Amino acid sequence: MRGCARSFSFLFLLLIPMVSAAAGISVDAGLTPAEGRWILRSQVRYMSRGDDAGVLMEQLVFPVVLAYGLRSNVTVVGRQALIHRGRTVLGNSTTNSGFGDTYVFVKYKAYRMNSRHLTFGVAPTLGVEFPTGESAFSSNTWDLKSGLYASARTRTWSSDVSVAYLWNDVGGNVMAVPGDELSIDAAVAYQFIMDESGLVTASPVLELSYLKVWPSHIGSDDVPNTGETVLYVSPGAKLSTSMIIVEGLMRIPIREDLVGNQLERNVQALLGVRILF
Amino acid sequence: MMNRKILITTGLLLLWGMIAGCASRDSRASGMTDEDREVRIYEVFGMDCPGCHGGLENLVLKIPAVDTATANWKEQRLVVVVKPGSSLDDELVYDAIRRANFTAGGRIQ
Repeated sequence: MRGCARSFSFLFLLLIPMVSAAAGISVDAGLTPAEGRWILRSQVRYMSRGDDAGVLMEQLVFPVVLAYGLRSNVTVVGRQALIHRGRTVLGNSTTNSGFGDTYVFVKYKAYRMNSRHLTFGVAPTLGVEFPTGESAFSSNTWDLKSGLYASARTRTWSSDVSVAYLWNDVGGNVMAVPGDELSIDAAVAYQFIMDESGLVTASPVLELSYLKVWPSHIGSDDVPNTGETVLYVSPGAKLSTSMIIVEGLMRIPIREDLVGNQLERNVQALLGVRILF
Repeated sequence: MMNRKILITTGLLLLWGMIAGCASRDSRASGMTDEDREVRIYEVFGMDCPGCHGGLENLVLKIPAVDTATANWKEQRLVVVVKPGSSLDDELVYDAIRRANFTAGGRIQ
């Protein structure tokens, strides 16, 4: 069994690691949108992993997220991503592209307080990632993800805290199961009002993110060279209008504890737009 | 080739978003002056950004007696113009504010 586990470890290095850790700007995540409101969110994310021996894995992800305020306290969200991946090993490069898995989740307004000077909200989420992606870009597993978001806003400051946990392969579909993931994010932003009427604002954003990925396993055996703990600091900016929000973010890994021999994470970049209908 | 397709697709999507976002949302196009119509102003809490008020305006505009609805997050105000000859129940506006996940502070005017 252990030999089988080792043989899977390199496969995991190639296929699994980069898609999962792809958060975005989390500001306002605890505040659910109005009933009947549609929000379309599209992003371009660049991420890469590499080592000193000349191995580089690059990935461009184009997620499109559609959210709808089904009721004032229930928001349904679907996400589909197009992924372009490049690998360079000892000077030889290969690329491929395809659709990743579909993720659908529900956000529930557990608490909301609006006052003249402060808005505060708490919203848990529960979702499923379906193995709908093309084989090279799918985890081939049914994954369950739960999260809890809290957001506080004043007219100028906003802050968010979120905790999310991903249970991989709840259906028991694959032999080598990717490890579960825990992510904790904290974000703070300051809003500059750019015009007299307040129709345009600009916000520098700073996020701190903790990501823990448990080792993949086959049965009760851990797959070698899997599992990691990463701490990111992410400076970014957001430009908001009444219908469009444009956002950009750099995710800088400031601490990375890798289990065994793995490629190190490099700086990630995110550019996105949100359209509010 | 695939890179180019992806970039073109993304570019078109962003462009479409910009065009959609720049489209006018002005709902005050009925030809009457404000002096001819009843204008009500409500205080609304919970709007803290430029993108916050659109959902509220959409909900208030669904009330049959409402002609136009304009919210301003900075002033924490919702301005509602009542259709000529119509009667608007404040409770319908308060219900729309609740369904937008905001809190009504009361009617100012």
